[in-house]
Amino acid sequence: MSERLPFNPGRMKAKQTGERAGARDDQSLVSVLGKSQQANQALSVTQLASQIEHALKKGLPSSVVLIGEVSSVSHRTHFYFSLKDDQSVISAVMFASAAKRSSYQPTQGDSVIVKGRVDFYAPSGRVSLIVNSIEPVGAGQLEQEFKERCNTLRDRGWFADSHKQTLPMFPQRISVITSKDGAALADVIDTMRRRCPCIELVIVDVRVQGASAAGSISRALKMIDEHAVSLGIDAVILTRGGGSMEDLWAFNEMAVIESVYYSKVPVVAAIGHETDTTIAELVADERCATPTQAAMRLTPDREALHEQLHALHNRLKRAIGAIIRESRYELNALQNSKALASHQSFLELHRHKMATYQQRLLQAVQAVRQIHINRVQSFAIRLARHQPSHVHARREERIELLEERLKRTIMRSLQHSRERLDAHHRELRAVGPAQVLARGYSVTTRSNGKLIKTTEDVAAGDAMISVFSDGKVRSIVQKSDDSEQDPRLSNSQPSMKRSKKQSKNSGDDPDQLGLF
Amino acid sequence: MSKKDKPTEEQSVRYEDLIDDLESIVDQIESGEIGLEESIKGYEKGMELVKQARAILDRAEQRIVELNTDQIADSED
Repeated sequence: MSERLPFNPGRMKAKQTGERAGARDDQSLVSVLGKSQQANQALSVTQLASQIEHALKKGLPSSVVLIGEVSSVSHRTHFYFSLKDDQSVISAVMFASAAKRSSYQPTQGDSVIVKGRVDFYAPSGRVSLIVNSIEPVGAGQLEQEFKERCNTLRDRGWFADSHKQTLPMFPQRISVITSKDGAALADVIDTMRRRCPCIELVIVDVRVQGASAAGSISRALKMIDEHAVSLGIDAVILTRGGGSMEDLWAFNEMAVIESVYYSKVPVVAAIGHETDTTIAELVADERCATPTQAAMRLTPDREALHEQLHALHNRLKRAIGAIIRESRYELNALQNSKALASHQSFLELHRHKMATYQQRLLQAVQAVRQIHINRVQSFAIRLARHQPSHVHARREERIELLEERLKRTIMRSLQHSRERLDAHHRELRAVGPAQVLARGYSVTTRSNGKLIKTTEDVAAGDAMISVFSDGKVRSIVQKSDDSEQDPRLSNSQPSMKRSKKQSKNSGDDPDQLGLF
Repeated sequence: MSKKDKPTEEQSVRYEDLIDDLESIVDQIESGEIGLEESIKGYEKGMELVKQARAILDRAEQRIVELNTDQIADSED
């Protein structure tokens, strides 16, 4: 407390002596005291104040609860007021830090219960009550009820963490159950719009204060819970701004507590100021100090989500890139593998074999074709041979050949005959009548050529032909003398008569002798 | 104001589900346990999910619907 005293002599001195002030405090004081004996025994105001403060602290409990009536209220940042009863008055101050937390504002004439400590405020020489909390008389009853209910529900395990549902990471529709006109709603909307406008808000306007509030809130919670699926609601924010315990009492009512507890949709509760606590908040899946905080708790940070999405996107791209690279590598490896190479050579071999077979097949087909062509050609040739003109030519040829052969044969035969004839002729001439005739004999024949051997062979009048060595003589038999006549004489006569014609004929062909 | 009848089509796809699906696709592809063809299919689906998720995040306009509990209750009756 001493640092608050503006009249601290030490500090005053220190200001005069500048930086060395702290070190000289005691010295300065001693020197002042030394100047006056009286002064030596007297206390300074500050010392007394300090002693008063000390005495108060020692003599009074650190915390007192006081009941009184409010008067002389002055609200600024801090609440200044007096508490009085019919006999006494004591000033009280509720500093801003505590005042902010209080749902009740001291009002002139109200009976209140305050809790705080007694303090001597040296600057103004006043004893005042530093109030930590204040509530109107009667509120204590609610407090009691609150405590009892809390105990009951805690025993039931309704506050247990095991009952808390997980909040959705990214709700798309949030129901805000609050007063349409409250500042809490404005805070929620503002926060949501700032952080993630893509989230839809479904606002259910309820009474948040007064006798009907609990029913209204409970109904809204049940309705949202019942239709959460069809409405697509992922979470509920149950909120209202600050107020007195009475103001907030609806959130301590069993109807609301049960609705929150049994809600299958996660409930985030932010009721009253940071220091206020309602049972609904304790039962809710998440408790937040303020509506803004509740909105933030449920709203993902869009930038963070974008980052997460970006990261996933990159991972996806990298993963597929890796897969593709790996697959390509494997493919290359496979292409270069021995198995495939041997398979390829195997294929090549077969391809080659196939080509060979194809070639052979082609050749075979061509050969067969050639055979057929040849056969057809030979048939054609043979057929052509039997063509009439051809046959005729061949026949002519044959005839010519035969003719030739015939001629040659005949010539040869004639030659042969001639030679034989000549030989015979020569032989004949050697043994034949010619030689006889040459010796003077003749041969007489009838005109028909029949040899006349005896006289009986002729009669008178018959013509006879006598052949001599040098020709013929035709003669007529005059008389046949069978007895004594020399045939050679008789013959000689007629032989003298020679017809020109006969002679001529005979003389032309001496070879007629051959007829003998 | 008016009550909403049904969630819109866009809302029927939950962002969390999209991200879950996307994550599992990425995991699968990264694990290398699925074949190339399957991976490419997964990739295409994943890209589609990324697009959808971005579309949800990028929706700039905040929609606020006011619900009247009595109306809902009435319509249910």
